[in-house]
Amino acid sequence: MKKIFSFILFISLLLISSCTINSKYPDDLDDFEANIDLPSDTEADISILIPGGNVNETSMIEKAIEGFNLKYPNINISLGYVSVGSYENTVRNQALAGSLPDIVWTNSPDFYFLVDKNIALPLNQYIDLSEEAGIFDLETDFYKEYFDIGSVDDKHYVVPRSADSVVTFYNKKLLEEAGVNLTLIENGWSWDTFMDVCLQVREYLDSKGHTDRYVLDANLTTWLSVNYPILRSMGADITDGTGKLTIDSEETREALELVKRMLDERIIVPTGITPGSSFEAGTSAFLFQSASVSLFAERKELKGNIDIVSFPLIGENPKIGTGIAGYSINSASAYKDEAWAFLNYLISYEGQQNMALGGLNTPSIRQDLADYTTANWGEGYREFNLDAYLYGMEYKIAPDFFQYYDAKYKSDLDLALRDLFNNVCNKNKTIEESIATAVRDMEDALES
Amino acid sequence: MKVKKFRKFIRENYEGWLFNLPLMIGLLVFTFIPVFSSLYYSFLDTDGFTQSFVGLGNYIRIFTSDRDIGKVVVNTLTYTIISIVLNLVLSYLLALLVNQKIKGVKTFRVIYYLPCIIPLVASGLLWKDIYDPTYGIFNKILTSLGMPTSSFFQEASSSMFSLILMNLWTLGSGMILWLAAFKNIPKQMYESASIEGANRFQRFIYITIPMSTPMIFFNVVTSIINTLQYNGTLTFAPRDGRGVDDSLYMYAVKIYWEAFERGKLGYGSALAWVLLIIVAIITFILFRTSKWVFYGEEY
Repeated sequence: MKKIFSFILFISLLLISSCTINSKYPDDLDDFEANIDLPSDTEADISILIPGGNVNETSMIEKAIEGFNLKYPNINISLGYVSVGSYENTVRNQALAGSLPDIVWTNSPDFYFLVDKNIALPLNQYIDLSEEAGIFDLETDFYKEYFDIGSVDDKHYVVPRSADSVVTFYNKKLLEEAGVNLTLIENGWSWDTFMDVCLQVREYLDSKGHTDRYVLDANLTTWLSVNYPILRSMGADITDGTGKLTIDSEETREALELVKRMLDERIIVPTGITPGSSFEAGTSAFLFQSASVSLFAERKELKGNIDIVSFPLIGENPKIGTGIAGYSINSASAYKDEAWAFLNYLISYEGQQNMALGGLNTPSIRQDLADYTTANWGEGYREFNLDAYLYGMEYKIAPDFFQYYDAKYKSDLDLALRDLFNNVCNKNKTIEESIATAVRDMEDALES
Repeated sequence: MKVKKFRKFIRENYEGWLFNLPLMIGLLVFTFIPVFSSLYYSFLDTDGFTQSFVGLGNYIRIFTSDRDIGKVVVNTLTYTIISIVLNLVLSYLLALLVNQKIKGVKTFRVIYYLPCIIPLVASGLLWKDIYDPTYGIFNKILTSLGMPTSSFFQEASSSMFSLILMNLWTLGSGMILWLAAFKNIPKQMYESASIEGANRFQRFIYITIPMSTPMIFFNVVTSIINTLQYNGTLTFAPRDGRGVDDSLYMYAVKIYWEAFERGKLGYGSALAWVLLIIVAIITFILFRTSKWVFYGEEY
């Protein structure tokens, strides 16, 4: 009797277990009818997933909700949070549990995961209907490049909330102390000029005995938006566009030589060493970042001492790192139209102006708000060189190579590329060793 | 007849079952269903969104074509063997030391045990600072002693040693168990041995060690189970817990990496079941070879 009971229990548990995988995501994402004409008394409760720990993101979305509710007072919007460090895991779990919010914050390259898993809804129907209704024109009203970054195979999956781009933050006070001619630092400056200035600062720091300080916080070993454009500027790439790896190339070696030189000249910190300086503390001269000026300008150590300039142009085919932070609609949402109504407000003139009041101090995604001397996103920071964010639109690239691979390879490819730059920044490793390791890791990843 | 018996059994025992019910539901929902789910997943190629049945494919891959597994196994065994031996021996010696009747010894017991009450994540972050190659206190101490500094987790060659050293931080937990075992040894045994002329060393060898073998056995079994499942590096080691050049890439970290970073829930589940089977076999062998454990009944 006991044996039979145990057997029945075992089988029951197995059956219950087998029911726990049950994806709610449709195969055909275009099989729905978009409606952009929602009456203003529409009632709905929708939710948005935003990155936790980012005060700006919360306050700007709250401002947008405030404005949106003036038009749709009966659409209640609640916020949910995700840690950027465990983005995929959280989104996967919520999606499988059926609790993923209707609108999901995403970025490049994380949105490839949403696309690969059919979580992100293609927005083309909504965009086409909006264009037909004369609400907006993607080409002329927006920086379409950013919508394209959030696209795969001509399908738009992400509504960018701003036009983010990597720029160079610099500490004017430190540069002046080092005797740098500040007129050299202008949008469109070259990598050679940048290096000359860095060397001058290095000399100054050494003369003051600050040998443990470094000139540049490059974010080179952790951030694809910095290291990938450096590779691309020299003509190197991860893949040839068919998925075949091309990282072992002369162009990669040239790009890495450029990094090695920065290491040899003690412009950047070697791997494994904690620098005695940081841009935030006012002790490094430069920082590659895409964040808004407001994040640094109010810091006690930097107040009145910093400005921004475009990312230095490398070689004859320069690239500037960019990416998107924006929002996708959950394809399993029961409130797709309401979610679109909110996203449509987010990128409207009024929505962008409202979000800027909530802390969105990076350039608006709208072309008619490019002038930061009048648009809200420049409010309080008009004396800064905010043109730097929008300089060289033709040079902007995002780490788009992920689109050629299945999402399951993303973590490994990401890690392999970070390792490549980590190894190059390791004084004990050569460029050849670093490339060999990267090739092995990437091949392993793709064969796994 | 059987139904009648069953009804009678329920009628007489329902209060006990009611008290047990919350625990039973908790175990069922949070332990048994996930365990059986993972067994089911281990036969699938699934990321949760799509699934296909692969039979023993995931298990075969572990033993045939996973290129990481060799390094992972070597790292895990190195860490397990060195860590367990060091922890058992040093915590035993520490317990002997604080088992003396010396003034203020209780304070030392508390001090040695304090690190064990610090949460794993907090101590991981703490050690990240202590091991900072440039500003960490560890290198400052080494420098002040005129010794060469270390890169700790920032170099593959020093990562494993640093981790083993770091885990000595919680020697106090073993110490407490040893102390409990020592306290259970009847004092009369020591008194009799002293009368018979046994010196301190002989009393240690012939009384203390044999009488604490049940605790040695318990510590060995639990230590093996815990260290084989160690994934603490996820909170502080470079490269998402894998360490420089995969120097800290251990089995439980690999399970996490496969299931949650690569999204291969099926393969991660298969890895977890292989670990469970390995732990079960080791535990079985330990129990079958535990004749050296002295439980006192034959005394």
